[in-house]
Amino acid sequence: MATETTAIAIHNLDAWYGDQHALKDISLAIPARQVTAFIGPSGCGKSTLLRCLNRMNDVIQSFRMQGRILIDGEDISDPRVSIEALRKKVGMVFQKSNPFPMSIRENVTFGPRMAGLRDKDALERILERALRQADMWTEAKDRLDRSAIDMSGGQQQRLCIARTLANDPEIILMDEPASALDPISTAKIEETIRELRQQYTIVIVTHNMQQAARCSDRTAFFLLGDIVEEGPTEEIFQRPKRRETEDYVSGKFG
Amino acid sequence: MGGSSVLEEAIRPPAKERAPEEPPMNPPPAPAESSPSPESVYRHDGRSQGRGWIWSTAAGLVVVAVMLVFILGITLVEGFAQFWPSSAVEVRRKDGSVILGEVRDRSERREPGKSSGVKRRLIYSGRRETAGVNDFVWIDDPEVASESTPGDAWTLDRVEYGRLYGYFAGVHGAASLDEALSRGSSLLAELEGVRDQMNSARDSALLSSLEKKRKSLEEAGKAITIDWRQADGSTATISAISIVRAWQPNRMGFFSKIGHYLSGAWAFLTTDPRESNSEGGIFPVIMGTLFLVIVMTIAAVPLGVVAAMYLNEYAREGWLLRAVRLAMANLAGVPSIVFGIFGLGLFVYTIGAGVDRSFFPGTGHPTFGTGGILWGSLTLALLTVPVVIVAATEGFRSVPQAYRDGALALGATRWQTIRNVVLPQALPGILTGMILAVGRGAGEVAPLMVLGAAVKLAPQPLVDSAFPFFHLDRKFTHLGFHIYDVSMQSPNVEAAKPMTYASTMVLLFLVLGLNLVAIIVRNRLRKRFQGSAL
Repeated sequence: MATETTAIAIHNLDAWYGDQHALKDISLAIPARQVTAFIGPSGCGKSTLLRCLNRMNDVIQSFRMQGRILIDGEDISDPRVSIEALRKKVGMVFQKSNPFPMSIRENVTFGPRMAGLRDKDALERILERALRQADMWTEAKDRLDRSAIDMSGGQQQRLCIARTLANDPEIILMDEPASALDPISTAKIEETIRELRQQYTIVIVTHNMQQAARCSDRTAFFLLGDIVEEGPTEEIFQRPKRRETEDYVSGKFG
Repeated sequence: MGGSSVLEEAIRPPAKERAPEEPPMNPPPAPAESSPSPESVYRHDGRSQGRGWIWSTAAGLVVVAVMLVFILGITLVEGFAQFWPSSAVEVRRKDGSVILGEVRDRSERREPGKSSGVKRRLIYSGRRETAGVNDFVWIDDPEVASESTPGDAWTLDRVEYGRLYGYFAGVHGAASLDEALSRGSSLLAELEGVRDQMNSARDSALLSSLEKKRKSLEEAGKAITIDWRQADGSTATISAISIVRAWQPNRMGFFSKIGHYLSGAWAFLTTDPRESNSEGGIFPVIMGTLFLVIVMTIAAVPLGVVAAMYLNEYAREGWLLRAVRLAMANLAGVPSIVFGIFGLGLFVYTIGAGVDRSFFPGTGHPTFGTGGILWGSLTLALLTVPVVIVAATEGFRSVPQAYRDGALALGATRWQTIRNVVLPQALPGILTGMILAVGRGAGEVAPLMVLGAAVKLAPQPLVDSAFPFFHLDRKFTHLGFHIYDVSMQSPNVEAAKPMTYASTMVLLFLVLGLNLVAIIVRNRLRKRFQGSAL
């Protein structure tokens, strides 16, 4: 097991969408180079918290937040923090794969290109590394200039993972990355996640209990904007301390 | 896929219970009271399926289609007919008078209170220098003693006074008729070249030398004359230089008629108008319209797109934004004449006059302080900007938020996201806006008349060899205005009638062509984004 350093520290976080109190006084430490799963029923705030971590909620006008999120000891809400640099450091994979209607090459190199990298050789190296990390180099290497939207759903999602990896992030946030995929594609994504955890801190939101059990090291259970229980995945699934957790992981409600 | 179709099969009612035939269009939802029990949904009764409603929608479509076919049909038939060489007809009346010309119209004259009328025909015999207003004559059928189409009759298109119909009677100053005609037409072409140069010449030495050249060409032209025997027996002597084209319609076969037709149509598109627009071509008119539309598009589209981009991508939702959107939609409905008056006040009287005071003082005549193509284009741009904004807004809205999120999450700035991801995908919508703007702008006449920008005859061409080559301060001719002019303001309405149809047809094809180009470009772009998962 990797060393227990904290990658993300969340202190007393409150968040609102308009009048709706979406997160209530959340405090959580997410360890580096491990997979942390957020589980919980719909509308419990797990995606909201995930989107706070790379400030994707800034796009939503009615969103408001209070509290502190420290990544590598730095408050991400600090006005001196460049939001672009933060999002490069904290990559995100969305529930629905969203490759741009461009070639595979353009998709993967999008982040580095936007950051100003022009060197063709360097971009090619990044392209190959990212595609290899996302386990799709062999299937993509002969069609790098073909449109990304001609690929299958699972390939598209892995392309989105590769696109995120091309930015060389430290943290990868995944918002139900396999919920729209078939079992085989899901298995491939999970395998990729297991390989990536050696190098990256991964936070994954999932509705799929087995998925959380299979590929996460730690699990946090959310309910109505609160974290009910948080700990090593094995404990949460085998020996939950709270009644609600037990009911949820055993499938009594969801 | 296979699983879901099995499922669908299972939940579908047995075929017998379903209505035997589905109506061709989507019926509106059946009224709530008619669907409490399951079988009433499948009951085959006209009211619950909204049969009456379907019929009335179909009737509406038919009315629109009939109107469209009627307008297009009449324009195409009459417009295309203008260049067809119709037969020269010699009509002998019972009073002994003879007339040679061509039949332009047929109708029935009916006295009040009588059930049957008298059939009559409209004969065009040209030669306004002697015929005056009688170049078009109605002849009642009972008046006609005999009618023939003599093979040796000629039809001449002339520079002035309309056509001439006659029989060849002799030539002076040339060896043969062919030589006289070919020398005449080459002299005429040269003369027109000299006139064009004189129009754009500024320097007085050049002008006087051109003037000399013009005089000598005219002299040379007058030296060659051709005699034509008229139907009434008299002889008309015409100088060769005044003949634009001469042909013998009754001797022409089908294919030479087609050749004549095509060269006539080509000349119509590429030459200047004559005889106060009732004859000749419409080349400057087409150029004026094209220039107007191009300058308008250059002014309106970027402005509209930038405005739509701000409204969609940057502006915060709120009452102000809603008010701006409402104002925009209303602006699109403001009558064009209001824009014309606004443009006159703003561009011509304020900006144009200011430009004249600062840059062209003491010339004694306005340069930019009068309606020119630039002001016309900018006024139309104001008129079409709301259209572009509304369409471009739709384009921006159609780009899924997921793409924006994806780009932002990769560390792109907002501008990079818009520039690289949103804008390329919004392009089809933006092009739609451009199509609508061009379609509206090309047909708009009222603002141009108010501005005094579109005129009957442009004194100077928009493009010539004098610096700066494109003269945006000049007045221009415009197809819409041209149609109004030839149909309503012509001194010889009957003679100008074919021009009206032909010009309308050209305008329709111009707009159609511009739209086709935009649609093809748009579909190409759409294809690129096709199959997108979002």
